[in-house]
Amino acid sequence: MMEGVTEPRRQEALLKAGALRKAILNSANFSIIATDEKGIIQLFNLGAERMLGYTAAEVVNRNNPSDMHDPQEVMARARSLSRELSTSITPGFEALAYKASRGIEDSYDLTYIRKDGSRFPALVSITALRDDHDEIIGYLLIGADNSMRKQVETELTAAKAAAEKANLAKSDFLSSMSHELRSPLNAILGFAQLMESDTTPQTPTQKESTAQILQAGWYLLDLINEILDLALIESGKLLLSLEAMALDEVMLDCQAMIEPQARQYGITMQFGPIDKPCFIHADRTRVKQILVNLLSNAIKYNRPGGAVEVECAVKSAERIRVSIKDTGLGLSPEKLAQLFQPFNRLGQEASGQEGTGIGLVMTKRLVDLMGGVIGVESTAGAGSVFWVELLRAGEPQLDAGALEGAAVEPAHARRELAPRTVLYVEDNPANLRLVEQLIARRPGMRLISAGDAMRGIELAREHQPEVILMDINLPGLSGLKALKILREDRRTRHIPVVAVSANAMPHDIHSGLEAGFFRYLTKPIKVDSFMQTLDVALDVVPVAARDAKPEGASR
Amino acid sequence: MISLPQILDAKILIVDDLPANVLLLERMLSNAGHTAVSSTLDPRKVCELHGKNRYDLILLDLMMPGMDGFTVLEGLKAIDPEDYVPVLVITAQPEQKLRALKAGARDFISKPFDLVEVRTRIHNMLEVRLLYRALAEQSLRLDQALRERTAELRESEKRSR
Repeated sequence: MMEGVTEPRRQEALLKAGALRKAILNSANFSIIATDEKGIIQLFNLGAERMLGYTAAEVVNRNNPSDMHDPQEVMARARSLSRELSTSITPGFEALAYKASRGIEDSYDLTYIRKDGSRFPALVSITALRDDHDEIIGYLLIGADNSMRKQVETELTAAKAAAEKANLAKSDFLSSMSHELRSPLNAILGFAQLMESDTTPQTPTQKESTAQILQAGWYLLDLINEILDLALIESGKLLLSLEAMALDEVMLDCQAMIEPQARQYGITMQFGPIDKPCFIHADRTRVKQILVNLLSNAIKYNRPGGAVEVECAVKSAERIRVSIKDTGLGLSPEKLAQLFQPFNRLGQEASGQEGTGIGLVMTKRLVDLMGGVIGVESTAGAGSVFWVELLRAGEPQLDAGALEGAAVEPAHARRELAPRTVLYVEDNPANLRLVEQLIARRPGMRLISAGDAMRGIELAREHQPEVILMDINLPGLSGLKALKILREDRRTRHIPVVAVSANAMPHDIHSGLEAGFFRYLTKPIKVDSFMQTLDVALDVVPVAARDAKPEGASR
Repeated sequence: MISLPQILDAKILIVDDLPANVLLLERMLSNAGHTAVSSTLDPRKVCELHGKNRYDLILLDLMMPGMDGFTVLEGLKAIDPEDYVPVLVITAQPEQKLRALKAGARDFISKPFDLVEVRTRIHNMLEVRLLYRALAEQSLRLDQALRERTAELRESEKRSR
């Protein structure tokens, strides 16, 4: 109650004493200029005198603030305001005051020019002054010298560029260092392996020493590989191929990969059921890497005879969450905060568990790159739950109508007697099944497949298929690189290779065709164009190449 | 089929500028029972040696002073453009995998390597190499037989006219 009474009184006192006005006028760090309604300066405070180099006496009743700005900038502002407000605004005081005169709060970034001709960037706020009848009687312009901020901005940009450059240099350095480290490590690991497998028996002490050398050596190699991987991500050179893929299939793969480790540690693994079909929009290889890393941690940092539970749950229309729950020691809030920092092993260095302290950092970066979220909840003493949320996707599928059409075989297909072989190089089983269905509807066609490019190239050499369908983003060797190898080999040079890829940007397609793909099909596969492409590709196979052998033998 | 003794008698050349690496591969191969292993520290001698000895397998390092592995590969291909160049690249630069395969290497191993893996790959490569050779010999024989048979047929045709 007391405040309600005293406040207006205090304000009144302030205004009456003129203290406020005096302070404003004498403020040295802000230029305060008041004009009449036409823009002629009426008041020019100490700050304005200091900043602009004019005395009040020189400008009051004579000059206009717009005279003190860079005329080019005032003209530009008039033009842009005219455009913005669809009206004609003259380059002069009107350009500064137009918005304020319409009651719009306004401030602008323009260069002030001092009396001596020197310049500085200013940030000016402008307000209309009104009398008791709400008529505009002038304007108040409060300006601050913006040089410091501008300078800091410039320095910041330069510092950022320097940091980015240094980061690139670091990546280059790391990759050349990799070679220098691997060579001596090869000798250490190689000879230690020789000693281990030697036919002349070692003493128990020697055996233990060899085992120690090997263990430390392989650990060092892991470390080098992980650091390089991380450097690749940090330098932005890691490219992901995001497409619809079945999460349940990847989970099965991970389960198979991780179970030997779980047995070794005596940890019970429990994989909860997944609602099928369950598709996510992600990079297959990297999803596996993420899950295997989290599963492996859950096993390593568990208690003896502990358990790991894995669950998948649809969180929302967009996201699906995989949770990995362990029965380990759990993490205190302080440790949780350090969890995703490189080389921070949270005191596990002494535990005897191997680890580089990079795995979780990598995992987080990969999840981020795929538009997902990673998190952890932990109760000290009871265990932790690490979870990742990934983006959901629809199942890659064919519409029923298209399948009907596809069943009709083209007229010329009947003249074929020997089955014609199609090789599909694809690491995503969901896509493979689709193409299997399509090929099955074509009599006289046989599909063989490979999960990676190296195997694909081997199959191409061995089976001499009539057409090769090639995914672009394959684990290890990419489809583009595989194409080059196929083209340079005289045994496979003649086979048309059709790209089938989730990279559907025009420049992807362009560079694919440029690289020598016969056609470029994008996923999801469209049945019509798929079948047409197949027909065209089959006809392209030179007759001479197919028939040379039998004809040659009959003569 | 190719028998184990045939594989163990196959001629192998090790090329690496570091004596430790050469010694390691020599010991590994001799432990595995290989009997015809030779080596050189000088990449410039490889082509001459291959021209003379026609190895069944060359284990080639990539980064060597004097001449790099890619130049060696080019030289080997030039010796006999139609022939199979039996090169297994073993290098500490995993990022060179594609370039090496494109340059004509049949397989690729990164250093440091797992001895069991290298042994198995060498075994497989030798098997393929020897099968290739057996196939070439066989097709030569078939070709010869076909030619003789065709000549006989022509003869009998002439006679029956």
